[in-house]
Amino acid sequence: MSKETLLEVEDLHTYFYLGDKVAKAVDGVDFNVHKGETVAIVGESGSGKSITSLSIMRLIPQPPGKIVSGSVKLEGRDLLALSDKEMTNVRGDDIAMIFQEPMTSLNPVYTVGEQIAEMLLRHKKVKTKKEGKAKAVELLQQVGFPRAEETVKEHPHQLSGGMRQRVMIAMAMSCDPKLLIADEPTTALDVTIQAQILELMQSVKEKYHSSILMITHDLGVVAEMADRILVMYGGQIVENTSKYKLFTDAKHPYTEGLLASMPTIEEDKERLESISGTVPPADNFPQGCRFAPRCQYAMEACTKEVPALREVEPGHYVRCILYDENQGGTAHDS
Amino acid sequence: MYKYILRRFLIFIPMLFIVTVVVFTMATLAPGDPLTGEVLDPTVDPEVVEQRREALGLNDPPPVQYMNWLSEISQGNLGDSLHYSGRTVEELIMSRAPNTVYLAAFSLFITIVIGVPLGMYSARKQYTPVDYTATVFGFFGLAVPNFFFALIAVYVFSFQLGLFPPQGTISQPGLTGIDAFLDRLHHLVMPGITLGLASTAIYMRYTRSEMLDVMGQDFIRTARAKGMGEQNVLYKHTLRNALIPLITLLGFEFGTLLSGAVVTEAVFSFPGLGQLFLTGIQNQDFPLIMGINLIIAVTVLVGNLLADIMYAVVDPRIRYD
Ligand SMILES: Nc1ncnc2c1ncn2[C@@H]1O[C@H](COP(=O)(O)OP(=O)(O)O)[C@@H](O)[C@H]1O
Ligand code: SF4
Ligand SMILES: [Mg+2]
Repeated sequence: MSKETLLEVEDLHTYFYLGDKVAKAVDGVDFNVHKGETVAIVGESGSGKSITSLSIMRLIPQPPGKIVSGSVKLEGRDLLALSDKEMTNVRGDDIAMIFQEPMTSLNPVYTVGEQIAEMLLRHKKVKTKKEGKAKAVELLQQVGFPRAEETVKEHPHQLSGGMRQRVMIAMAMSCDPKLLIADEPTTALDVTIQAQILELMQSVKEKYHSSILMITHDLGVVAEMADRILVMYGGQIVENTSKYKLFTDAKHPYTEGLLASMPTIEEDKERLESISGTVPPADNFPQGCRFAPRCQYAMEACTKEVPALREVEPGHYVRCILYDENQGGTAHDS
Repeated sequence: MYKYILRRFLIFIPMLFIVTVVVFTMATLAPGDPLTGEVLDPTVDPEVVEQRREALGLNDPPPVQYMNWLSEISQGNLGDSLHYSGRTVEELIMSRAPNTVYLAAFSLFITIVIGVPLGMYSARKQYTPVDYTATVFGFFGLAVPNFFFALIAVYVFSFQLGLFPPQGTISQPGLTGIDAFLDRLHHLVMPGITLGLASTAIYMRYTRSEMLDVMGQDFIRTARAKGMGEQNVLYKHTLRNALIPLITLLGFEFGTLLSGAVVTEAVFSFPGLGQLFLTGIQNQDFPLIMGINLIIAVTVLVGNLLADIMYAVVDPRIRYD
């Protein structure tokens, strides 16, 4: 795998302004995605994963949302500095996205073929509607529709959730994007279908040599797909490491909790049994470490200021004062 | 789709039948009968009245009367008018219907070309002065009774400014071609706006809220994620979906227009079906009242049928049911 950087997200802040409250949905996020790499963002619901990905696409509903500061560079070009018009050229062509809800993510009044062809035409991959339809058939065949000639003429409501997600994948890959963002693409699907969709994503990724940014709250999906994992909590990344390190040597107490709550084969553990409490609301984060109220290692120093995301070993970043030499905390063994 | 349309047609037939029963029953249950006026008239011999009752079939039991009436109307005979002696009801209706059709078409046109775009614009510019202005107009259109609006309009635009004629459908007979058309149009402006005011407001509010609703849907986000431009998202992806519920409204529109025409035509002395209907009521002209009622009811039914068919055309989810 090459180590060439595709996407660089730096100090990204995306806030929602609701009356006199400010929800800091994304509050200082940094990470890179390399070419050909699959990066997963994990974390409980409400931790800012979707807003991070929508910020990259510049699809934040505004108002009430706003990307307040930071940069999102795709091959060195800052997407946040582009005009709205220029950004539409990036969407779909350079970065494609699929969403959690296959049932509602396709337009009910247009055929599957029309919706794929429209995108091909938009990014000048084909010259005519007819060419677009033909390409759509080809794309649908690739994602596993045996009778793709008929499927292009069908409307979304005629397809099951899993099939619609296949259509979304075909559409996302239609312009050969450099980066595919998938926001919980399997969460709404049956378990058996989930596995098929993940397998399909893996195979299209290899075929198109694209990178994937995969958002999930399912560590099983991570184990299956990811090269690198970003653990998010309270609008920030609290741990960033390789898949191997995550499952063998997780450092952040929150990551430990997530891993401990993963269902194992022997026993079906309760979800997040080892982390009590809930994610703090984005408009009212606790002072200092945002995980402190739920952390079993929390100490007074934790509530002073937000710990920095530090590189504790090459390529392994942790946001916790236990790993912060200057704070004099003692690293616990995990 | 054809199956769906066929099914709609099959429902249409019994509905039509029920409508005739309702129209007939309403006329039968209404107090008095066509000869009531003459019964109260001391100069008329009660014996003669009774004979005429018998001759008109008014003494037959209601079911028999209904069957007779049904067989007449199925042949296109709506009966003879009692008030306009010597003229049949169908003749009277045919002479007045075109004016009402022009009036209704004009106000429907206003409703659609003003209400829908204004609603779209308002949705796009949500919470801006334009949106607030449109909202105020919407409440005004709904709150002001149309006879009141008509009186103000006549006072301002006819008597004060002299821009539009206060009554009638043409200024002089004998005009031809484009002059005749423009003359008619000139006479239609004020009654047309009066009749269409409330509907325009409703369409505007409805379009606005439907557009906003659709804009928040997941598939709109998908369209944006595909790189579609703002115009495409708005006109192709949003509008087509927002129009679906508006079609229901359009189905009701026929009834709204015809009932609204009664008041509007009265205020503008506009010789249409509405005015004919009022005359019929004032003179207890039962065949005429029943005839117009029937025409209105059938028009409403046809309106609903058309709306159902249009539904199938724009919404594929209905087509394949
Ligand atoms: N449309 C919105 N309006 C207001 N606040 C929002 C909106 N979307 C997200 N947020 C805020 O951002 C936080 C993170 O949301 P999100 O990124 O969707 O979380 P997740 O990690 O579950 O994907 C939410 O808890 C909420 O406070
Ligand atoms: S900084 Fe303190 S509270 Fe936060 S995770 Fe580390 S130990 Fe726990
Ligand atoms: Mg989410």
